[in-house]
Amino acid sequence: MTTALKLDSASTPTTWSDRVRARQGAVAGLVVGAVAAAVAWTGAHVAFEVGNWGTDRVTALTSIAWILGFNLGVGTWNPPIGWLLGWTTDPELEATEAGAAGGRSRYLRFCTDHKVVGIQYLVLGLTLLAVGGVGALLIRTQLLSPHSTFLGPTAYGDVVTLHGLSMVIGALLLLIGPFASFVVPLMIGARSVALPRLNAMGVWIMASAAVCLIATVVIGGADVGWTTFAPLADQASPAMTALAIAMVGLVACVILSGISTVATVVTMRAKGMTMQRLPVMAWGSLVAAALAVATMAGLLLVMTFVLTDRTMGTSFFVPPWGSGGLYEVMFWTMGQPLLYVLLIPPAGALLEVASSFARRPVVNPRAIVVSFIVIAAISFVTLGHHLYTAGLSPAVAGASMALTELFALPVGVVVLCLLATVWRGSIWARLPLFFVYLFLWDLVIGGVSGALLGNPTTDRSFHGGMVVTAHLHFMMVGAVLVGAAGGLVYWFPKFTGRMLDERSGRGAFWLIAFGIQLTFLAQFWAGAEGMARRVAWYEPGFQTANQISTVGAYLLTLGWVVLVWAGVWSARHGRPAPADPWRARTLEWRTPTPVPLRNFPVAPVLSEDPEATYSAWTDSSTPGAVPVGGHSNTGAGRPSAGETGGED
Amino acid sequence: MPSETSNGTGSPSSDDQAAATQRSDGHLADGAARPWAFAVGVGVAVTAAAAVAAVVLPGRALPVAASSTATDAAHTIRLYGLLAAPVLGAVVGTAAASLIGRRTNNLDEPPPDAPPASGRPATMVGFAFTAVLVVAVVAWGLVTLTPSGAATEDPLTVRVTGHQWVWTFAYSGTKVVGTNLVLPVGRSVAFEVTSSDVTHGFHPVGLGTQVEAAPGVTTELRVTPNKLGPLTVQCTQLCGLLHSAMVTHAEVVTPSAFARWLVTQGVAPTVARTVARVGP
Repeated sequence: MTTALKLDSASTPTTWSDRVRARQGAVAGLVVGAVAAAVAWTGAHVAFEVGNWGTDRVTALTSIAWILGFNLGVGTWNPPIGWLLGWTTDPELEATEAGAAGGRSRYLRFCTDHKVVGIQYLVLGLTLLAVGGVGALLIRTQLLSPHSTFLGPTAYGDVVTLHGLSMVIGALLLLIGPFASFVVPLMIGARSVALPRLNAMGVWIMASAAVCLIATVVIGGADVGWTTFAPLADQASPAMTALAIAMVGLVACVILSGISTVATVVTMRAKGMTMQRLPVMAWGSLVAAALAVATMAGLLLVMTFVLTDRTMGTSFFVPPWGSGGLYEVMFWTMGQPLLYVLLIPPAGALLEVASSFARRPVVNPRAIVVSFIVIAAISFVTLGHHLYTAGLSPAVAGASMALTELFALPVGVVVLCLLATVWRGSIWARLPLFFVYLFLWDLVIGGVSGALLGNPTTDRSFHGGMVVTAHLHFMMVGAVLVGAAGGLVYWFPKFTGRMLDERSGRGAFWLIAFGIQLTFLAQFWAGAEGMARRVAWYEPGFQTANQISTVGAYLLTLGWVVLVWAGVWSARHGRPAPADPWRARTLEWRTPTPVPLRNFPVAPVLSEDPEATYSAWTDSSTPGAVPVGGHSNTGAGRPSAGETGGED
Repeated sequence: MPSETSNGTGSPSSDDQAAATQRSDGHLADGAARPWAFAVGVGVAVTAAAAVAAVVLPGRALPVAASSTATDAAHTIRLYGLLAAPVLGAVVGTAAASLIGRRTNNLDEPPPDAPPASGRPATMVGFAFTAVLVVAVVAWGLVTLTPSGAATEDPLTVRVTGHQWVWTFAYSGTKVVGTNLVLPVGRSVAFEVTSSDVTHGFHPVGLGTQVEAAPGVTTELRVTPNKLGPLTVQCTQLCGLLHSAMVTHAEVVTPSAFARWLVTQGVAPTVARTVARVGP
């Protein structure tokens, strides 16, 4: 700590709350969470008879106690508790919580620095994606032969569920953390986020919820698929209860971070950064965050009903009064918009990438913004395309089809603007740009197959089959994850202060590019032949396509491993990155790397020249720049921790 | 001043500059005088290849169509594939042409800025093109919304019940209930589908249609098998432990063979002939 901070703290008496807070962190979270879970488990066993509702109640109480306890130990609840109890806080502690102390240990603490939160989300997201990736490898290995005994049918079903959920959540966390929490505030010239505590709470709640999710495979498994359809989910082991509670944790995480993102973009923009001039990436995150907050209430409702059905004998989705049909409709009301939440920010990120590596501003940004909003709006009314085989009337099926096919227009505009940005550009062939081209190809394949599945007639041939699997993976892996990877590679120098090794990154890229085509084009073939999805065994006729798909999946996994390895290696040993390695246009590159605690040495002010959209801005040497405000003693502009190494 | 201390690694190191002079292989190609010609060439080639694939591949991959519904679905698949071919061609052509123009592979120095583009004319044309395709896709979808020839009179009614993990079939007009599905060729079948436990998906592959089997609900599926031979009935909704094994082999037979089969199931011959609509 600096001397100034020491002096400040010397004048403040140390209270019991400060002594506790100094010890909070991930380790304390594990201890308190484990103790809380053990107490709840024991207490629940005393209170309830095991069997019937009992085991589910024990699981529910243990999971809830774990989440509450873990976050108590970490310090997630400090903001509301401290406010309620009127804690007077040691400024030094406050500064540490805000990330001023620097050092690696802040990544293992409740830290309100949005950049630290972004990296915490990145690690958590990659961990979940790794879990999902192991699941994918197990699934593909099982499917190498038609009647494989590699996994039993129970384990296979459990792995299918875990694979789907951890992949979807992992991808979501990449967009919430590195994109919305780390990059977007820098991009809009903010020196903090609007609601830093809210923003920081989400990641720790999600970390504890992820433990519940992964624990499902250990405590009995839920062989129900990521959609956890009732009434099948009602039959599943008590692991389903832990899964539903993990989903409630996800809801809390997405809503907290979503509100923070919306508030930040709306209120924290630099002077001169009007909404008209907001970069498309920031617009994408804004629209996606608003959409996510709106949909998450639906997921909360669904999962709460699942929990009460399982632990209290209510009848929302099970007989006598409830129905699985209600679950399907409620789930897709939330689930369909959620999938589009995932698509918008990667598209925004790649538009910025295209701009930097084609050396011109993003073409037609207003059309892109309108398209993002239209995508978000339509996504609420297309759930019918999941229900064509559920007995929809022709009128509803027709309307759902028309609305679904309408997606081609806004998505098409985004593709057109991306193409127009690179068309006759001055191409700088660096790694992030590669992902733009892969994204375009995969998005067309995924979109075209989506148009096919959006038609009720053809959907009735393919519903529940591998064609659906192939389509959603082209969208989720080919578009969402490829777009996210392109963005992560692009902002890697800002995240780590070092350059990503270009050569191993390119190797990884080609493995990923060809891995995706082999894996999922082969699944189109198997699906067209009639193979159902989520099956552990299949007819021998589908074997060739499945073998190709499995080989592709191995290559694809190898590609991701190489990319992550290159990232980890480069973060430690890579060439130190200049502040603006790409000579880019947006504000996040106008601040030193590693980014100082308060983001910008002085608050940036954008030029009033409307033609100079992003490139013109004033720095400290320009007259008219706003000096640093005397907001706090958290050391605006002091050398960032990544540079000076661990101080504590 | 804080800003002085925070520069850190902010300025390019001398290593960078040394590398820039050593690796001067990166060139700024400005050879593509006619990117339009290149884009159109690649686009047309890709469109043609995709169109051929869209026509040929469904015939190779799809199961043999055993009903006019399946034939119609295959037509729609081909049509959508044909409509998608120019989309793929346009995207690949434009993207490829963007790479052959001004380009540098130099790792250290970006090329000079490209002139800003409004992109508006191209986007408008592309938008109009997309809109035409969307209208075509929706119009065709509405035309084919109700399967042709499905709503004929006098269907054979089969009550289908999904159980974990087996299908049972009850033939109306008889007391036959079993796990075997035998259908007469050329006659409309009305499947009345439900479930006794969780949600299943009733998919007679080859008939080109399917319907959900949900507990407490009866969904109807009408289809007319028009080809003799075996069929696979598959569950398409994850339904628990043995979902993968919930596969039944069905048979489409002549009406008289269907009547004979009913007799083997214990139906009186006269009743069997009536149900199967075959003369005495």
